[in-house]
Amino acid sequence: MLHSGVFIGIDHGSANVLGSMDQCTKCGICNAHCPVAAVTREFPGPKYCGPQAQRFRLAGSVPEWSPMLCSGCGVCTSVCPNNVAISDIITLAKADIVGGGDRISLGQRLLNRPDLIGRLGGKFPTLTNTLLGSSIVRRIVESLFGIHRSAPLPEVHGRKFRKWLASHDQENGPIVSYFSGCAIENYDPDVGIALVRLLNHLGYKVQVPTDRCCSLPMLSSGETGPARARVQALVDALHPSVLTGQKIISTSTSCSLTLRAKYAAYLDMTDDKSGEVASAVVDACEFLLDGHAGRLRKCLNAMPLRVLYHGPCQLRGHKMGTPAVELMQLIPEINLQLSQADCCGIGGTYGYEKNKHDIALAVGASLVEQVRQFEPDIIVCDSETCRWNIEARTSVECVHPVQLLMRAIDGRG
Amino acid sequence: MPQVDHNPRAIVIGGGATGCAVARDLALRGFGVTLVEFGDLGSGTSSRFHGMLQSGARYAVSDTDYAAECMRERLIVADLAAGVVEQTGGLFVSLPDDPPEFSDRFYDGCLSANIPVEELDPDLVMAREPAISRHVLRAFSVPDATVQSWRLVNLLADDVRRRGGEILTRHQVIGMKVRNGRMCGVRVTSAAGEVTLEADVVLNAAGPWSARVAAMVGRTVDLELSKGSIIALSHRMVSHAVNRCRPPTSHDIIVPTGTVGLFGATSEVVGDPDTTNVRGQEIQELLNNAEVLLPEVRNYRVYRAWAGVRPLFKPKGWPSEKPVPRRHSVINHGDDGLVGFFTVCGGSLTTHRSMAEDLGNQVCLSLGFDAKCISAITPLTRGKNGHGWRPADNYRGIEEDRCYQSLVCECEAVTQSEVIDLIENHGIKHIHDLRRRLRIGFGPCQGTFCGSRVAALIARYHPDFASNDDLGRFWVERLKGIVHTAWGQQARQALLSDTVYRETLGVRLKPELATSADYR
Amino acid sequence: MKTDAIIIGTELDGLIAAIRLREHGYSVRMIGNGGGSLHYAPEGIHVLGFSPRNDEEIICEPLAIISQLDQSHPYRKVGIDQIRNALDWFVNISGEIHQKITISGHNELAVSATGLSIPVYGTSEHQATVGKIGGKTAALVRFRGYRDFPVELVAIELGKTGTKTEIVDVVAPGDAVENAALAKAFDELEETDSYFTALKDSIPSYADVMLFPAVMGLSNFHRTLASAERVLGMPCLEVPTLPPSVPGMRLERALTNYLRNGTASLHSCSGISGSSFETDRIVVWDDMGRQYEASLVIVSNGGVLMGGLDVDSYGVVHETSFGFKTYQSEPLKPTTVGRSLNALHITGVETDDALRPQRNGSGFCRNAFVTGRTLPHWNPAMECSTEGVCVATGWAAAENAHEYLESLNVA
Repeated sequence: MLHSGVFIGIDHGSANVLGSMDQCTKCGICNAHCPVAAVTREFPGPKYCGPQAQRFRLAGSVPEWSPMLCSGCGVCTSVCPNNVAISDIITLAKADIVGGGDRISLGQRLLNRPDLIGRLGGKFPTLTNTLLGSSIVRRIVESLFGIHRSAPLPEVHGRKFRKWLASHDQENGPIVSYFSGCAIENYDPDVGIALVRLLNHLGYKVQVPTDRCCSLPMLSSGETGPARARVQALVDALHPSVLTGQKIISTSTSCSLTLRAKYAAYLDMTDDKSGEVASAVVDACEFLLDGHAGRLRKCLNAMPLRVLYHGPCQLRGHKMGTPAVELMQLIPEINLQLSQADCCGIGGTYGYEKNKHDIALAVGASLVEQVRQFEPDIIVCDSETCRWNIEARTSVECVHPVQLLMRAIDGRG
Repeated sequence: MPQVDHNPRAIVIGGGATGCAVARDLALRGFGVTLVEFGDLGSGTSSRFHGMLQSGARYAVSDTDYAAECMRERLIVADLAAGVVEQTGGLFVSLPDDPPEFSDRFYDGCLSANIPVEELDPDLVMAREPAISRHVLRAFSVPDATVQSWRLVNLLADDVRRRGGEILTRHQVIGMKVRNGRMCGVRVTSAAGEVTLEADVVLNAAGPWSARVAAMVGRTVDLELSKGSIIALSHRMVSHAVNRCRPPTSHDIIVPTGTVGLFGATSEVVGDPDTTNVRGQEIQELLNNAEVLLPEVRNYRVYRAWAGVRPLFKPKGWPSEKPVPRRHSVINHGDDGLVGFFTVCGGSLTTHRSMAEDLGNQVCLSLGFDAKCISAITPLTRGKNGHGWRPADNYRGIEEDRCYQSLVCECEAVTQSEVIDLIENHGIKHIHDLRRRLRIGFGPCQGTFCGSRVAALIARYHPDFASNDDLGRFWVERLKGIVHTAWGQQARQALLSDTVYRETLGVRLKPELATSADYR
Repeated sequence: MKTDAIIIGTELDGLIAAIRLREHGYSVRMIGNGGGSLHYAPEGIHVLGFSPRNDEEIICEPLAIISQLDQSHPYRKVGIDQIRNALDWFVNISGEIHQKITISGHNELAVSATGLSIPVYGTSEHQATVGKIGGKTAALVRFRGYRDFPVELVAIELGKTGTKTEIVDVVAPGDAVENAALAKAFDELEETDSYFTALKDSIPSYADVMLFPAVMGLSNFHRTLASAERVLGMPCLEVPTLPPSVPGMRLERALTNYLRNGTASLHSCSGISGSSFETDRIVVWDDMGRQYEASLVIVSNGGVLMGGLDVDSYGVVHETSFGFKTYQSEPLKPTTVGRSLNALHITGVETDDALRPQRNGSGFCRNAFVTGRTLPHWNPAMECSTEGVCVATGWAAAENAHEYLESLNVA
């Protein structure tokens, strides 16, 4: 479809996003796939909040509530046969509602800064983890900040990944950049370690230009004002690597989608520099599958495990299919089942908020049910908040695909 | 001069803006009034135009008196019926194609007609209206507005009812009763059968059909019927009504009304007042001209096209080479031997009230009935009239009440309770009549999804009602407008509608449906 | 990344072609955004319901009149033998994916969302047809607050054909009110028996068949309807609703899962931003700039309805993925509504009998095949033949592609 890429491409700004509303034929396919609308009548669905309401927004501003219940999962956009940037329209509406962040709750502000929390907590990781493990503290946090007491907060790890990388010897080879993001840096270092080892195994040398946050939580909750400077700093930090022709690999489908497409859509960063950075970003599995599948096949050992793969919502936005599945299918003797759930429910920081936690639980119910029936040994998912959520709700270990691949290679990952 | 000692009875033929205003004018003067309309209220020319409440600036050069009348009436209507008027404001822009000397004459004409006009910085105008041409040379602002014509017509009709008048829709006049050179009634037919209505005066306000009405009693009304075709663009590409600053002609205006932008209109003399078909060639002509004002128009989605017929009146002895004036005329057929029969024609929606006043004055004079016109000073609506009509009002209501699931027409944010109220309390039984009153089916999907929801609600209250036939008529009526503009996304919409109606609902496109005249 | 075939479009015809190619052992990459028009498909397999020449003439035995269709109709290109093979094959698949379709050799009359009759060739177990409910007394379920099933119209129409009806007001599980939400709520209902037991009192004792809107589940609907029949003691059938169609979504899910478990690459939400077309090699770029290569392409991009064809404001029709030559049906020169719609339906990519298109005035491409709505000279809405044509052409395209790929291997 020649015209289909017009509105969602990486070099198009908010005007194109909003303009895509005119493509809507009201067919309702987005509503039928919306995981939030399926579980609560409070959320009228993406068709209503997106292209439909946008026509009225053009004709005069109206106080709105409904867009705030959107989890930003993006399923709507991915099933729309008319290329309406539904979820982006809703996100831009959110930014208007909260005045670019001026009218945003304290709890949301906190959640929007996972890098800051991680860095602060990382100074005293044991203390932080003990405190946040206490139900009394969580009740206090809930009443102070509106962060639900049983939302799956990850453990903080200090700067474990950086420390590991600094002491990790890499042989010379083609250099690739790894955008670890704040999650790997502060909460989930094992994924980063697995990726670096895997890339080393394939002969690459990995460098990590920055540990800045991609600012997705801010953008998706409408806090666009403060996000701008942070994003600019991140683009500046990544650009030198891009100039040397390096790919920027990411192990988080949500961070990488943000880098790829959302700065243009939400912040109108359509300049060349941002565009070059966006074009250089590649998902880890996509990178591994494209040109490395043959080598991987040779070094993957049999792994007779029951594995459930849940593709995170943002994966769809990459429009690359499910490279993780294709990679895992290379592992001999694997018993791989695909998740039938549209969403695990957490929606980034969505399910952390007190007033949305119940919705998040309901959204994730079908995945939990599938886990109960399939009884996997391990669950695989490409996005960190989804992994924390799935692990908290199912008590089954949940890892990134590169971790599973590393385990198939040398048993560690 | 005859004198009446009782309150006279009047029959008004025609349920458009003019007819309803005439009925109201006379009801306010103490007449007993019956209005007879062949179709539904406002289903003719009153709704088949671009929705503007003119400041008159358009005619400031060609007919300053008429322009001044428009301005006066525009203020009165906006005051009486604030709830159906949106104060968009209007812009006149001079483009390289437009005669440069016209701008100064335009400015002076506006001043002469008492139209508040202000010259603006073209750059400012282009910044404010990003969709229009980047070659604006001069720009003026005038107080143009838009009006929700169906709502206006229904407000007028409701007021007539409140004052004891009777409104008979779907009643067709089939004959007139004349006694001793005096008009004394009309014979009408409806689903309930035929009946004769008696009256002291019969007033012909049938717009483009008024020549036909007059012909029933052998009188001629010299109309020039001018068909105007209009296209509805998918959203409000502009925030003001934007006119070309040139002598008023065809296709030179875009109007933001409701949630859409209307571009129009063509002008073509036709013989039949029912000529509302749009030809493919007209669409191309509209687009070619629109491209000058709206450079990207061929990339826009266009929901539909439609046409209305303007009933322009040629006064006696009007030179044939001169354009027919826009001003209305009142014909007292008593002057040619049929006392008690009047025709009002010409004019525009903006001047509907002054047309009624003029007619009412002449009627009173002929009857020797002493009653002043009070239509300009009598509030049209009861209760508060705070802000003007705003297209987002429906959406606002739904967000406030969180009643998302009760939406029937999603595109125009119409709720189930609004529909049920009209069905239960106002005797509405047709999807079309709900459409006109509530804007059902006006949005992108053009009735694809709301049609059967509405039909089901009607069937809940009127199970004897032939709902699948009514649904089919509604569908075809919507399609008639879409097929003219079925390119790009609207082509997909047309096929989606066809898929839903024929493959899911099982409606068949019967020949009598596909070729039938407009359902009014 | 290279595969044997790239299929543009993930609707019914594309999915059929992909499954068939996988059966032949080829690697397949599908590019498209979701099930598309499967969401508009009411229940059952419509092969040919009405005459292509007369909107109201019901066809009783579709396969018997294929030979009378115009030479250019997709069915004529596929040919009656291949159509039979494709339908038989599809019936098999439908059983394997738990979406069992039954065909009896002639059209049944399915009850539409407004109670009208639509001839349908293959029906599913719980699909409401005139044959199943004729002469009975039906309890029609109206879920509270649910707006996409015009049950009152169904009651009126069934009444006209002698089926007595009684509308029963029911609260859906979870108080859901939209098609898919209702279906998911039924899927997740733990105690279906007790739900239907609670319903029992409100159903009139004289009813002998239950008609539900077709939203009784996406994945667990067999269980739910079986439970309803057990508890209520009568047949429980489904009547289609306004789109998005839940039965269509069931089929989409089932076919997609079947395919994904067979390792085809499915790329959701993807459009094509460019392509290079050579006689032995096809490269497409998606709208994120990725490059994919294949030996052949099957174009199942859904015609005008789903954006595979684009009509511009001058009325010229373009094929949007590769610029294949189209049949220009002059859609913007309307005379009547019916003819205008027909012009939009019957436009498409002109092909030879092997469903191969033409490009740039050159001959028919050897390595491209066109299916479904992108083919010209048929009118799905008028004929009610959507699924039949999609299955037949999807299957035929895969067979023809197989032949081509084999010839490559030999060479």
